[in-house]
Amino acid sequence: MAVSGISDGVTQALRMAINGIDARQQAIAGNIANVDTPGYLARQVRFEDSLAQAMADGDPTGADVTVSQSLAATRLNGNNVNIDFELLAQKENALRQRLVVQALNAKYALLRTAITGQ
Amino acid sequence: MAIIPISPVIGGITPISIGSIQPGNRTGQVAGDDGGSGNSFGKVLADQLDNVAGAQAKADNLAVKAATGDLQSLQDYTIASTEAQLLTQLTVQVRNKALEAFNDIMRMQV
Amino acid sequence: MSQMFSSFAVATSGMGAYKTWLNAVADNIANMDNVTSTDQPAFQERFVQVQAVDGPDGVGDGVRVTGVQFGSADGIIQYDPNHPLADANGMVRRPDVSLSDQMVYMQLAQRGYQANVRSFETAKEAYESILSIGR
Repeated sequence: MAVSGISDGVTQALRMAINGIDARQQAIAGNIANVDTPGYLARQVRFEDSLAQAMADGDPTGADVTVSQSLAATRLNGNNVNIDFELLAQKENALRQRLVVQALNAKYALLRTAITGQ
Repeated sequence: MAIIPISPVIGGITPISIGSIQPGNRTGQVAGDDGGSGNSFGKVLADQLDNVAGAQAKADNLAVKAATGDLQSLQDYTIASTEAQLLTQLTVQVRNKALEAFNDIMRMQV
Repeated sequence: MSQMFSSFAVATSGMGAYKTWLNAVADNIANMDNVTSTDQPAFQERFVQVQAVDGPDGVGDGVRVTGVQFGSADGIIQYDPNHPLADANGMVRRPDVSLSDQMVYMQLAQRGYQANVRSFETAKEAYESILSIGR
């Protein structure tokens, strides 16, 4: 996948992060859509630890995204989605997406500077 | 990584002293070195490139932290990234100007 | 749903489910005073049933309305001898729908709908930042 000369470990890590954050975005949207669905357990997406480990192993593309169900206490209808938490997490997630995209753009901008000499 | 294409150019302009390309010195000696003080333009540029590499490495390190969710403060990254970008642009501009000056000198009728 | 803009589809499914619930609540409130004669069934309260949709990748594909359940048709038998539909004993049948319950449901459904609208907007922000890659 990596374009040699353009993509390095850092851009690969950033791309993996974008994938993970995107998956989390959808999971949180699903939690919000199911806040009153009986028996629904909130879903949680993790990729950070795996990505950090993959970076340490020298291959960011080896990172994976895992989805698990929240173990938080359920309400009477068997649902454990905390709507305030989800709305907050979603905003934070979107901001993190912006941060990571900005980091990726900064990498590309450096390359562009080197290529064009401007 | 991004600055590799620049390196060969440094070799080419090493003999020109930084003094010789300052406008104030135009009437003085045209080309030559500044007596081997070690402050040649090549050395300045090489040091600058080290700075750039350092700034880029720092920004890279923080970018990975942003990816893995370990970034402690947002400003650490955004500042480091902006500094790396500006330092790179500065170095590229210095190189461009030096190259222009070098070309001017080469075209000079003796 | 490994699809582009899938968070939009998820948020939209939530909006749809809550809208269905709001409609059901509105229906319940509109009909809660329907009086029928005792030999007719009462208006039955509408309950919307929903289910989470499991996506292939475990992230989840939102929510789906699986059907509507109906409350009791027995209603409440009341003494109202002046009512034109009253039977020989002066009794009529009214729906067993509680307004306070409906108001609570309406609040919940409205808040749920709004949460999904916000979710949609936040997803839009995240997608917009992805669209800015390379710019």
